[in-house]
Amino acid sequence: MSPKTVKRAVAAKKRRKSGLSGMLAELYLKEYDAQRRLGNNTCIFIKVGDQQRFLVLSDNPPEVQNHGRFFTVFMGASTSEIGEATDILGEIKGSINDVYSPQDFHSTVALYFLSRYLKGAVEEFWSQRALAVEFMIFDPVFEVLHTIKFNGDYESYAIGEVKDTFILLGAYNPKLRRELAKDLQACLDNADISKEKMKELRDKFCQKYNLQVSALFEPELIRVPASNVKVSAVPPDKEAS
Amino acid sequence: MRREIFEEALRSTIPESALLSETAIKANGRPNFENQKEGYKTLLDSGTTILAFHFKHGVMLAGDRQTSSWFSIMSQETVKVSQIGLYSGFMFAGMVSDGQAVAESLRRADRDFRNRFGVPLSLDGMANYLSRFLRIHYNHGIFLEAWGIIAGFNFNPLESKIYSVEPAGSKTASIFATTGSGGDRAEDELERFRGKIKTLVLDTKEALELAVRAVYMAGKKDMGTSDVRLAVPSVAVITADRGFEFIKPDRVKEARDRLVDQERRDGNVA
Repeated sequence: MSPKTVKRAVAAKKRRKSGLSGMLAELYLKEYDAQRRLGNNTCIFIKVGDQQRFLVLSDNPPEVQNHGRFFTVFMGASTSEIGEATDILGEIKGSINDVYSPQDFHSTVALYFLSRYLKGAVEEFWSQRALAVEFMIFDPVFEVLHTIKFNGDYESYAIGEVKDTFILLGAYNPKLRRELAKDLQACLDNADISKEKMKELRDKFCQKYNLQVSALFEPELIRVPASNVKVSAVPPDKEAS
Repeated sequence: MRREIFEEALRSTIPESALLSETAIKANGRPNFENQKEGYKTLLDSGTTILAFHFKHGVMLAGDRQTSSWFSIMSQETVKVSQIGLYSGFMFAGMVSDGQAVAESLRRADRDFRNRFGVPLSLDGMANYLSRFLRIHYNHGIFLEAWGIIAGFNFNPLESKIYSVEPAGSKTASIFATTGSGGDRAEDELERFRGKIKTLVLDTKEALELAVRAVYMAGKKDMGTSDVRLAVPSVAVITADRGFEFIKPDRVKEARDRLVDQERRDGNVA
């Protein structure tokens, strides 16, 4: 981070809060730095009617992982940070498998531990830099979408209740965010999130902001095995005795 | 002299429960597992019959009602089947305090997991946790005398499962499981119905009769198992739609009476 950036970040925060202490300034700087690095990286979930799509615009290859019952989409400021996030997710999965069982690796488990790790990376002193990675966890079994920001803040959306809207992660560059929001709103107004339309949108932003990588996919493409009911569901009391 | 000082130092760092006898610490400072063999012997002398098996709607768990201490009967009203989670149950044979501690630890694990992540632990998860719990204690020389059976449901895929877990931490999944001093006789009885248990054709009534019969056969020969004529066994079922629930004692009593009448007619009992 250049001295100019540091100066600007501290000044911006000072304008809002007076008496910024050294520790707090460090925290703000870490946040500011992560936001700056994630400025042109974004992950979007958009839903119109029954149609739903994920769109990732980034400088680096995003990661999409299928964990059986849910999948995670994450993008980051650099490939090394995406790699670190992949490692953490693997570690969480491994620990759960070790102590409990693979069946107990739920989306809420991933959400809980990832959120704690990211929060720690911002707030703890052992971390020199925040981990500039943001996650979307899509769980079709519980019909829920979790989003986790780089600072550990998370939100959960019930997919069934989300109607004609989009959920945006990253894009801390205000200009990009404004333009994206405008274009996505236009898509919602026209009820058009066809593949062609989204590709058009993707190409426009990739060209304008010089983004190298993008991903566009439907969550339905990632298969989740159906529950295999083996036992009868007749209550024992109703059985003729 | 140096060894004595070393042993004393080790003694102060190892919990009291790890030191079952004066010879607990070997010359090399590692716990002596001879004491664990003694523990095993004690368990074989103590009495219980517990069993679990699959039936049409899920899993049935049953246990006798007797708690013994050497040659004395301490209670004829003990309920050995206990609920762990909404869809899981646990039973144990061995030392009561150890078994209760293990059961409480399992309950806490499930409760914490549910509170933190909003979903209950799967049965595989519980069995693995239990196995690790016992294994860690065993490796530290703390022999928990609890031979457990844990049964219930996994959620994805939805399936009923039965695990028997031993104090050293080994866990075995099976279609039926028995343990305790009367476990062998109960197992013989269940073995006769292996085909029916495996194909999940036993309905609740048939399964209840089989459970009562298995406990009855164990109690007939085993000193540590209560006689079903004196103490009605405790029986519980775990089903996919209703979870863990005890079968009402009246219903078990009816099954017991039918069994005893049949035995009388056949001239097997006085």
